[in-house]
Amino acid sequence: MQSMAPEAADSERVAGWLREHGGAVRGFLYGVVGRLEALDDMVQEVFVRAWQGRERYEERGHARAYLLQIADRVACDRFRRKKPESTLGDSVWEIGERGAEANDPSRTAAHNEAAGRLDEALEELTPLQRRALLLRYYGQLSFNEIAETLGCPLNTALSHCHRGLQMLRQHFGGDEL
Amino acid sequence: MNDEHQENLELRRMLEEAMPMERAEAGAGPLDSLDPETAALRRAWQRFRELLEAGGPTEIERAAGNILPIVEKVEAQKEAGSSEKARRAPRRFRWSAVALAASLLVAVGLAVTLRIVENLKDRAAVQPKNPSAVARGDKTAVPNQIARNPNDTTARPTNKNADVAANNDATDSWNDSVDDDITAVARATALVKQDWYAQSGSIGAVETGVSDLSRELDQGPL
Repeated sequence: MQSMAPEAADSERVAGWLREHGGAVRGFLYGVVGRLEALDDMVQEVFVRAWQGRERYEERGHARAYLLQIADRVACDRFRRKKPESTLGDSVWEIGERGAEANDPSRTAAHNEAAGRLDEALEELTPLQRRALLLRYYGQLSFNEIAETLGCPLNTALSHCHRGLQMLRQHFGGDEL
Repeated sequence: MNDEHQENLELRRMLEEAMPMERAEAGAGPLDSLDPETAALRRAWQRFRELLEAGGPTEIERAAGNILPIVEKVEAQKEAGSSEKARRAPRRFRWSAVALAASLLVAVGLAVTLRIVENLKDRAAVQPKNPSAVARGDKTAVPNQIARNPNDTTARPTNKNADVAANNDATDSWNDSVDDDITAVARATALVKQDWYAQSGSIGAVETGVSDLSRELDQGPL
């Protein structure tokens, strides 16, 4: 079997990351910054940075953690979620219309409702709590890795996760929990 | 310190139970086996995850196939990066060549300028000024007699020597040949140009030399 040229192998690896982890990166960025219209640019920036730093990356099966750490830096560099995205529903409709599945109105309406509730829940969290919980969910990061990504001691990261969960518990407690 | 460490361990254990990772979820204990606080946190986490799955942009993105444009953008960026590198190499070479040519030009210009200055200096040193200027009071002019005299063409006594010469001139004996007298006069004249202080003494020596010369001429044939 003919071996791939290094450049082609790198390209294939980054394309694989994009296929496999692009959705998680996008979801994480949306959760942190809450602006749907800027997401494509930010996702692109994450993968461009990943491409530029591909020589420093060591393949140890933590590609998603690596990408989310880059995404976290990109989000910090650009802007943070400031207020609930009031036009989220419209934006989701616009994007949804491009896909074949979006032709199902009940599905889109359900997503829209869930997006609205997610937005409200995220607004209850401080930026650090939000980043910590989203890193845990999208990146499956350990608490040590979360602390490293946030640039804080382990006990601080644990504290952000704990308080974030308590806020969510209070938020959901009224209707579901 | 130990209490704090113990608290952290306890908090970590509780969070590991409340927020199990996907790969560890199967091994996580059931809800009813957890203490009430941890179980409530687990329920909040599960609800949050459901909302992220249902309301996050990832599901819509997959449906809309938005990944592809991003792949294209990354690829375009990649190609732009590599073509930029390729463009930079000849540009760098061109700048080096221009810099080399400019430094050579400057070096040649400096060499030519130095050469011209040297030539001008040499010419100025060899060429005597108009002797009539001495008569008109140009104290720095070199008389023709000196230029023609092989012994004194390049003589440039210092101020100190000029003073000594001026003092010694008063006691010099001028009873030698006319040539010696001419030489003495020329030397004294050369000393005159050094400075005003030296000149004040040297003028006397010139006068003495000239009078000795005329005496010699009166006394006999050359």
